Amino acid sequence: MFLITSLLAILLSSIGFSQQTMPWQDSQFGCIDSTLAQKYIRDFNIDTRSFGGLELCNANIDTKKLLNDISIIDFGRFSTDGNNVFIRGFVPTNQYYAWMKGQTRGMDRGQDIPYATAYNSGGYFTMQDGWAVLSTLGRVGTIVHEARHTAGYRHYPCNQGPYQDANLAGCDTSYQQGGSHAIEMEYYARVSVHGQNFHPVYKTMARLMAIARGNAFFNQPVLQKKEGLLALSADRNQAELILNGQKVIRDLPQSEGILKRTSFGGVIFNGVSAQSIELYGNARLNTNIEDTYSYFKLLLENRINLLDFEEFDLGTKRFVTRIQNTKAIEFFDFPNGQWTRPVNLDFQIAGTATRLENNQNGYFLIGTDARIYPVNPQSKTVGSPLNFKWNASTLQVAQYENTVLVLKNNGLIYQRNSTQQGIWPGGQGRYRAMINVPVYDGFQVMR
Amino acid sequence: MRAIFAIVFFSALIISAVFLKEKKRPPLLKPQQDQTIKASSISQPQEVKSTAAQLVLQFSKEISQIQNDPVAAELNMKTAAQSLPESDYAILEKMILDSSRNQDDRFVALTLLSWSNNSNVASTLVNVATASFDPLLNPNQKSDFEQILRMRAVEGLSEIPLQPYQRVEYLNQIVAKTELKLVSDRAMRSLWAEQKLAKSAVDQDQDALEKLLSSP
Repeated sequence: MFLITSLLAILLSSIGFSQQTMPWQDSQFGCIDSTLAQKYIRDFNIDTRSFGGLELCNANIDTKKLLNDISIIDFGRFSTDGNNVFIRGFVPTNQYYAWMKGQTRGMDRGQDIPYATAYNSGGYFTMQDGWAVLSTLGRVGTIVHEARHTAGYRHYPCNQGPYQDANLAGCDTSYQQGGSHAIEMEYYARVSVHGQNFHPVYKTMARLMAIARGNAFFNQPVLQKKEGLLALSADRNQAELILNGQKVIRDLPQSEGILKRTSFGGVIFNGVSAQSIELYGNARLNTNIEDTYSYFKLLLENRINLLDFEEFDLGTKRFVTRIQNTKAIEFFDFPNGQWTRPVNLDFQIAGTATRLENNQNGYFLIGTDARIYPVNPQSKTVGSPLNFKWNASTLQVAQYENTVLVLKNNGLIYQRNSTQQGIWPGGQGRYRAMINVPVYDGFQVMR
Repeated sequence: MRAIFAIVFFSALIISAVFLKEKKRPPLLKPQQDQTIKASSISQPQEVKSTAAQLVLQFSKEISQIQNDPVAAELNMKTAAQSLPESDYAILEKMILDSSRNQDDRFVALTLLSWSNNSNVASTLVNVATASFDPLLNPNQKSDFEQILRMRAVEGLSEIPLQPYQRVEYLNQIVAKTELKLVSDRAMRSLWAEQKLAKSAVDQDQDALEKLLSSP
């Protein structure tokens, strides 16, 4: 069985997945010099017949596309200014052509694995229809991607992103692993940051492609959203937004309710509607603006009294739940655009939480006996209680720059990490609520 | 039970071996020239005649080639974008949203609108940023090109002359309407930048990618 598994793993690992199939049209590119074309054909053992025959000028022929792509790899230049000489990328800068040549035994054109863009089998790349319809940048990225498979780097099942629910191994474990997705992303990043002789539009595409793929094809996200802390003061009608070590005051909606995190920032939720807290400014006069930006806009559909409503992300997936009574929970079914039937519970809900004092995050129901029940939004189920209870003096738990923060019912925020306990110096005052909020002033780079 | 396992084992072994052998050098296919002419690839006559269509073809060719002077290339494209007649904007929008078209063409068309220096393209950029996907597209395509196209449309709003309150309004429209996390994220970054709380989304990207490349 092990051998079968291994063989299947080898088979899967030889396939590099990327894109799609659709009809295409290409404009005429400039002609490729015939001597250069012959060099490329020789260096990469290109089966020109399978690409539509030797063609130096007409970009509607796939041979011309491939030769054009290789010329970009050949002549693209990157600055190395500012690079730490002790730090090396996965592919040596300005040696893409030599590296590609060393990783390529041959290239041909086929459509035998239509769901893939291209695949690499023992150093032979077969470009599928999906490759031919990509942008030039996408085609170049695919070739670079495939080359990495020659060294034995395979893909793994995805725990997030477009392949999450597909029965395909389409992800790398992490960027550090240096697999095909990392090599491709490194190329895009280099074009964007260090590219010297690429067209500015090609560079823009590369930048956006790197950002878009940074979290989609790695099981450990590479570029994460930053988070700040939003705390409601106990004695004043205002919110404190704490980010990058700075504190700014934000206006609060006039309505009463509980503080909730959204993908947009934060809201005050009163059980029926949600008023948004504008994190990026205090400019408006009317602070009672209903949230129509996050999935709290689902509240607009039917005005019913709810005990709780939560929008939260796990990996790259977003989930929404609601609680109408203390004995059941409902999940929003995004594909069908409707709420599921209530999942009945054998305990009574006294509260909810999105983070626990052990820094576990997700969505948790707290029973009247203080037991903590984890909610699994993927399977739309509620799990068995954890082996510890919710502390009766704890109101909420959040995280700020790797420190777990606990808001107690005395209004003080305490910090919990391995070296420090006690009152958190960042929260001077007394508070009645505290949540983490997404902050859009940069990315957290995870390497 | 063992016999069943043995049969499964050897069958899988034989199939795998044959498959692997074939994959070492996949059989040659017939030339793909028949794919060069497809109904969806034939441009409409009025589109071909337009300045917009000609510029898209010209710059689609340019972006796919190494540039001796990228600064001049950008200036040239911006000048051309600003000379486009407004009557061509609808042609560009149609090109951008046509998922059967060449991806370079679509991205160039969007860049021309973004560089038009004309506030009248704002609603078109919002339309592009919030456009739903062609349901017939492979999910993979959604994950990158279709998304980066919409992300670029969001960035376009920061490149045209708008009053700050107008830009905030358009960005809020995108956040409220889009179903794509990356597009919503881009609009939020632009809103933060608009309020001087953050660098532009472009600069945030560059900072992150530079850090990625330079981290040990």
